[in-house]
Amino acid sequence: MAILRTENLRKYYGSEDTCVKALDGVDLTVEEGEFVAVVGTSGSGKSTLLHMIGGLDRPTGGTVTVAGKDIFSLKDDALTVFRRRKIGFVFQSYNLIPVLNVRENILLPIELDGGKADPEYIDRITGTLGLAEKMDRLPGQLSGGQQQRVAIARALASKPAIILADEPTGNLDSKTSADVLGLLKVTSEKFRQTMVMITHNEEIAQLADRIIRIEDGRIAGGRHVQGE
Amino acid sequence: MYRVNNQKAVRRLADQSFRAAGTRNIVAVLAIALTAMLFTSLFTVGSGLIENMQRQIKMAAANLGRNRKRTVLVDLSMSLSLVLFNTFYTFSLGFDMDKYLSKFVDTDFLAGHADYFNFQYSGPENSISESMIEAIEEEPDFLEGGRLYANILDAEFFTTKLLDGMTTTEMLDPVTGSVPSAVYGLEDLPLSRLDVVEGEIDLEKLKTGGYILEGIDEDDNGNLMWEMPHREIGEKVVLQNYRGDSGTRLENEFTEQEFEVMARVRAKYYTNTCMKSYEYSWYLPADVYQEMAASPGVMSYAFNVRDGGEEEMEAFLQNYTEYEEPVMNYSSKFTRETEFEDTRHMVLAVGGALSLVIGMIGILNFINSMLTSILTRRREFAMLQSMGMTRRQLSQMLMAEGVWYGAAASLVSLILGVAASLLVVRTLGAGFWFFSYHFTVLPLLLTVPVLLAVGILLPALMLRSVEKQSIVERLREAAD
Repeated sequence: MAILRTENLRKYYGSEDTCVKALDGVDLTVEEGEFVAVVGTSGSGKSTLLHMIGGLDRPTGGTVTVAGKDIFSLKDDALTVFRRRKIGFVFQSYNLIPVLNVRENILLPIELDGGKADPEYIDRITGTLGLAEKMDRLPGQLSGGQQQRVAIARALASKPAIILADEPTGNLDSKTSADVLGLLKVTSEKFRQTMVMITHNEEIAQLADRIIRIEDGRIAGGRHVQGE
Repeated sequence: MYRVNNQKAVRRLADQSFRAAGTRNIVAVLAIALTAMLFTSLFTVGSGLIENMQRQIKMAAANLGRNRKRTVLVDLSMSLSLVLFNTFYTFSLGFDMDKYLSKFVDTDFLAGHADYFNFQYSGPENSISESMIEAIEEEPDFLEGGRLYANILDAEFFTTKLLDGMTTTEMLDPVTGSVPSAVYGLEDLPLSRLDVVEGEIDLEKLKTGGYILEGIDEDDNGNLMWEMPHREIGEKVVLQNYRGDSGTRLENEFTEQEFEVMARVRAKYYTNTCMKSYEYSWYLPADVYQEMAASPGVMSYAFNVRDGGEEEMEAFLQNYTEYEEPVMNYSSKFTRETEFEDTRHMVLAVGGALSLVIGMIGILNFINSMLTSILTRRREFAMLQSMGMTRRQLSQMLMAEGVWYGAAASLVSLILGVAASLLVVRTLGAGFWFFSYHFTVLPLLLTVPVLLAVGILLPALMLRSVEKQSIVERLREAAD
């Protein structure tokens, strides 16, 4: 089942003459459980694409369907609620709330929703990510890599339909990057979590099940790496 | 010195004083009731909200802890103005009208020759005129009055005979070798107003003539100078003077008279003395006194008016002493009251103005601090919103922060305010003789809801301005 589908997704900035076409008709489908990498250079529109998929910004045209829902048919508040239940984000930096500890950060989206966490599931996540002993620490006491792990845990915690990662290892050194990427892959498989990762780094993209290239706001071509 | 030049002002002040007394109570009751209601409703709403907003409240509290130094500074600056106002308010509250008045007035009015009010009363030459007394007594609101007789510097002035072995710091009268003294004859009204500080007055006995009252001076703070008087109750004292109406002392007849001290009374500078300090001052009933001098001088005339008649009498006296008998003068409780109230209002006004200015600085500080805090957290807010925090939840978090600020400021104000009140006001006030310390934190309590309201409203307003940018823009901005 396609957990994500975009149709003719467009995002234009500016007026007629100075129009910037960040996205110029993107059709995309992601199946459940896939780990997809979207690769492109700076300005190719990959971040814009992510923002659209995540419902952070509204398109100029086209639709985005997540878990069967046309997300832009929702009003702002409803969209926000949808986001917190169905979409998980991992950004390049500033993922965590500095005044909350690791546990609180991980549970935040769930709590914002007024929901209850599944403690067993949380334990499994944090175990897999190697965070079990750090649950009471504050983000300031963690290294960059550890912080990203917490971010991943948080994204996983609410069992979203899809996790969107925007250059998740951009701020990390090569060793830590490898660690974090490895974890992304592992958790994606272990928890059957659909992931879409944005990167400009070809090497990193190799980890994914499928690579999608984007250039000048359009999909340039896709290539499966492994699986279907 | 005691003239009031503007009748309209007198009337207006009287009106205001009257109205103020009435409304003050109403305002106080209303304020307390409102505060109570506000607290109750806030508490109810609050406890309900708190349930739903656990996360936001916790985050808000944690957010305040981020920049502890700034939080403390903002708190202090907000509290400062409140503490200042409470201090001034408490100080003004301590202006004890009764204490003040009791020093200056015994009766509603005191009339006398201008010389008397200039500390230069001597005797019959500058007595208050009978015509003035008559005119006063004829006024419709006149209730009761009495003369105070004294011969201080005229031909019939009195001396007290020194006991063997006693000395005096005063200059002795070269003729008699005794101490020049002040002897006063009081009619019933001023006699009844005497403050007996030792012993008891038996009026009948006193009026027989063999008894006398010893006067004790007060110091500036109203404390009796017990070391001054030289006779105990029951002891005898001999008063001397040269009686006669020749006008020249030595042409009069030398007379001595012995009295037994019946009791001791307070010699109140402004109301029952000639406004000069004497080592010996004595009080007698007017009837007895009048036997002791051929020309008893009428030093002053003390009188009361019917309730509500103060204004009229004041106007009459003003007019009389300006046009009818300009050489006469008067002092009134009314003008004293007004003077005092004016001073008190001035303290309140100065305090209020000062507090307002500092209060504005406090609020500006708060706004600045909140705004900076919000702006620097734009990125974080964007991230929170991307994670699914609705605008409303974000707003609630900021409002919770504002409430924390408000609550902290209130607490700090209360603590500092109480401390300032007890330590500063009470100590300082003790140095003022007309001050009676009253503890109050009413202004502080009243501003608690204001602080909380400010804490709630301001962040909500400021958030609006930040939110104009979309999430993506803010995230992007942050990423640069």
